[in-house]
Formats: sequence, structure tokens, C-alpha cells
Amino acid sequence: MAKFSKLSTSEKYKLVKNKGHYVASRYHGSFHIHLYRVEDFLTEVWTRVGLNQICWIEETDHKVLDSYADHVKLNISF
Amino acid sequence: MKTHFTNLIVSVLLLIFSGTSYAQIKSPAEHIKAMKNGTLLVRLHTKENSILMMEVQGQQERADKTFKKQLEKNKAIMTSFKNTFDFAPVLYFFSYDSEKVKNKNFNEVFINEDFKIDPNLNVKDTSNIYIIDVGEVYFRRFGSHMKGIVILDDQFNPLPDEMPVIVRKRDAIALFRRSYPDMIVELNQNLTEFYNEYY
Repeated sequence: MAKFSKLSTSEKYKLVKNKGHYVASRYHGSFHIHLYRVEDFLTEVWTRVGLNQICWIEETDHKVLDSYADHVKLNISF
Repeated sequence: MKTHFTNLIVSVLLLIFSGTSYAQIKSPAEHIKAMKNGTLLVRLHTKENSILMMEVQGQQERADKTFKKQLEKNKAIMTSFKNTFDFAPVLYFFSYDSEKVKNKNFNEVFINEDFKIDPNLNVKDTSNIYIIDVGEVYFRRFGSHMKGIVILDDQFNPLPDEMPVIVRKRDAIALFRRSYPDMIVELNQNLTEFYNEYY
């Protein structure tokens, strides 16, 4: 994880693209954020709303999962 | 999953790289001069997607509160700039018009003090445009984001690290937390001092 933060945005992008598994997306302020699991850690890809452009990619931890709860709709049938 | 990712990112990565290289063409001295002679465009957030999502989920009261809170924030930001920032002229636009601003399509983009689009507002010279974003700011040094203010180039890319274009809010420490006026005064002072080092 420490290594990941040292990578450039393009290197992070390549890693997420090749090894990442999409988990969920959320809005925060005027950002649209996409959560990916990469190997044993989580990363968020931050994009500005209204712009088709990545601002940054950073690693995060499981605490952030709560932020995605509002955007998950469970479809449970008994 | 891969398709989602590809759709999101592949088309935009080139923009980042092209924009980054653009930002690196100018030296810090050239940037600060261009900024001084240009116009700073403040991006006011609207949270329209979050609000829409709340409305879709039937949370109208929460959506209304979010809208009002954001409006108050935007008023505070605008008032702070008006009262404390004099480094360069400032105009304001809503975040949903970011693509238009990036493409330098400034037709009916800028808003007046009543938060209405004012077609009479426009930039005189489109060659020296910089974007001010208030909210989340990425710190390359720490590899993470914090709250604050950042100035970006006209393609919404970061400026050279040695430029004093980021002011942290210091949100985590109540004693040192900066208000909007505090941050904007600090930004104005940093830019002025940096400009005076060169000119």
C-alpha cells in the first residue's frame, strides 16, 4: 500500500486497469468517485463531475465503505 | 466491470497527459505572471448529482437541506473572494459547466451575486485562465486528499508543485481550522508574495 502511493497517476491507472475489480461509485461534493479493489487493498478513482477527467487515484481503507452505503440498493427476496 | 472502467478512463487519460504536459510547459514565473494578468474562475459546487440521488430515494428533506447548505457555502465563498481577494479578477461558474469552461466556451457560464447566469459577464482575455476549486484537494506529497483550496490550469490540471497554489483547511484540527475567508486571505497573500519574488 505504501508503494502504491508513491506511483504516478499513470502507473496507478495501469495497475487499477490491469488488476482492479470495480466495487461501487459515489458522489462527494462535486466529485464522482469509483472504488476498486486491487489485490488486497482498496483504491478510489476521483473524477470531477461535469468533466471526463481523472483528478487522482489514491488508496483507501475499509472505513470508506460506509460512504458507499447510500448508493447500494439491496434487492432481497424471500 | 472492465467495460465500465474502460468507458470511464481510457478516453480521459489522454486528456490528463496532454493537460499535464501543457501545464509543465510554463515555468512557475510564467504561470504567476499569466495569473496576475489573467482571470481566475471559481468553481462553485452544486452537488446536483447527490441531491438528485436523494430525491430518487425519496429523501426530499435531506435533499432540500443539502441544497440550502451548499448555497450557503457558495455565498460564503463568493463573499470571501469579494472582500479579501485582489490578486487578479475573479469570476464564478457552477461545477456542472466545467466542461464548457475547459473548452473555453464561456457563453452564459458566469454567475452574478444572485447566483444567476449573467450573459454580460465574460473574460476579456481567454489566454490566461486559471481555475480555483474549493473543496477536496489532492496532495501529491502525501498521496491523499484533504480539504482546502487549489488553483488549477485552464484544463483543470495541477500547477507546478513549487507554486503556492494550495491552501489547506486543516479540517482535522479545530484549533487551526481555517474558514473560507482565512483560506482566501492566505491564498491571496501567497500569490502576491510569489509574484513579487519574480516581478
